[in-house]
Amino acid sequence: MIDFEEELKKFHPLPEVDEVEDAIRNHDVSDMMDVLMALMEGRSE
Amino acid sequence: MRCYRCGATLSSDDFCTACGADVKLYKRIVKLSNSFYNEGLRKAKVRDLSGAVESLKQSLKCNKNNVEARNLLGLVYFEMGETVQALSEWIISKNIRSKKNIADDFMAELQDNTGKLTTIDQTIKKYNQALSYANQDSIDLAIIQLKKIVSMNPKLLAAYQLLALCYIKTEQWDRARRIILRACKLDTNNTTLKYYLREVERVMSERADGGGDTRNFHHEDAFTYQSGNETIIQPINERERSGSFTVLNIIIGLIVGAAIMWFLVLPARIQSARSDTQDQLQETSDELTSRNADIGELEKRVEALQEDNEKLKEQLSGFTSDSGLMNNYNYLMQAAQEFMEHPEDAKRAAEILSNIDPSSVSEDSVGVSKEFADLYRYMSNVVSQQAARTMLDDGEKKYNEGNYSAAIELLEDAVLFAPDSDEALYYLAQSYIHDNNESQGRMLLNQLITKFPDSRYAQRAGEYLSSGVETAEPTETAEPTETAEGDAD
Repeated sequence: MIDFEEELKKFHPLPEVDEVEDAIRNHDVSDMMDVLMALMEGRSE
Repeated sequence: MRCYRCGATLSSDDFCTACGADVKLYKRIVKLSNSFYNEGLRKAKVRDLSGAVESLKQSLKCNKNNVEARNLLGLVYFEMGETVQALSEWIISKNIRSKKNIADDFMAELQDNTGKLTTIDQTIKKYNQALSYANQDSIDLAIIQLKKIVSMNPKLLAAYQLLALCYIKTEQWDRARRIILRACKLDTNNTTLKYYLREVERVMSERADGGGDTRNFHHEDAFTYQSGNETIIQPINERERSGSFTVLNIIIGLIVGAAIMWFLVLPARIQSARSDTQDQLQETSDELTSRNADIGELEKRVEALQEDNEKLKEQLSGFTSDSGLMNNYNYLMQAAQEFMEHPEDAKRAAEILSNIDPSSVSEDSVGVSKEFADLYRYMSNVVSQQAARTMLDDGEKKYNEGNYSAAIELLEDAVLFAPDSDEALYYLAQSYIHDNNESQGRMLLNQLITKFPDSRYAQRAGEYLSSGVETAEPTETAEPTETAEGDAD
């Protein structure tokens, strides 16, 4: 049976159009390349 | 593919030929990213939007610089109604590759259509409001708001999901099912929607099988059967009523119909008729008021025209009456004609001129031209002077002949035409004295002395009044034509 309260917790407010700058600023842009680069740098040191 | 360290183009080897860096792992990560991108693209093509989002996110986790994956992720977000997320992806993509990037076209299209962007923004705000209502347990308000949202922005998948959840909460299973099916057309493989749909169909199936509440048909009232994927619930026909029930129903129907007519239709008709009559009355009243205003205005115009007419009549009478300007013109013409025909007899012309009132021929008078006034002044001076001279000569002649009564008559006219002539006044006074009217003669002599104190005739008048004897006229001044200065001007 669906638990309304639990399901409702999964819904979050959508960012509004004038909040697009915040959305970009908070965007996580790290990727495996960054991890790889970090590893490479660590190994070279 | 370029080296992550020096940017040189990589060969098929596992190391960079330029800087010697180990690129084996790097190459595998890039390939993995592209593989996720391909998977996301395939899912997007079959409208598995949520699946495409997951794959594209994985692709970007491997390689954040995969511009194609990022652009497609933005497009999928946009298709799901999450415009801000879409814009974020496109802007980041644009930042990574500033030229020859299709994200430019996506953003330009969105920015050019400001109306659409405004609508999207409004629906996002409404969605957040509806979510707030749902969290406050105001499910009905949330449903109203969400229904508006899905009609304004039919792509906003989150709104469909929340609306379905609200319907489920209020046990509106059929509506929940319909809205889920609509949402599934947007996103064919959405896990949340699938979960909701399964639960809704389970409950509906249970209720159809006999455990339902009043919202669904009771087992005794309906039977269900499967038609493909659809569950058809059909009510069982009630048993037929008897004939008396039918007649009773018809009668009740007629009574209800008549009551509706009496209580609803007739009052509305009467009200409508009254309203029409009121409108017509108002219209007629307005027209009457307008007409009255017109009549008043016309009456004022008639009064003004009558006043103008009276003024014009007065002006016309001023021209045509006995003392009017036209007669003055005629008298002046007659006098001029008379004087030109008989210049030696100025008396006749002077008599004609005497009909003109001098006060009515000044240039200030209405209708009197400068030429007319000048001609009148000229004629008056010349004719009067000449007529006075003639009458004075004739009067003196009669005086010398001893015909004093004739002399008085002529000299009276001479004094009239030349009131500044001391000679005429002297001989008129002597004529009166010799005509046995000494008092009148003495009065005129006194008038002469008063009026012309420096005149030689005044001196003679004074000597006569003191001695009672008329002195002889001096020989050097015997010319009887002398008059006072300014006489003939």
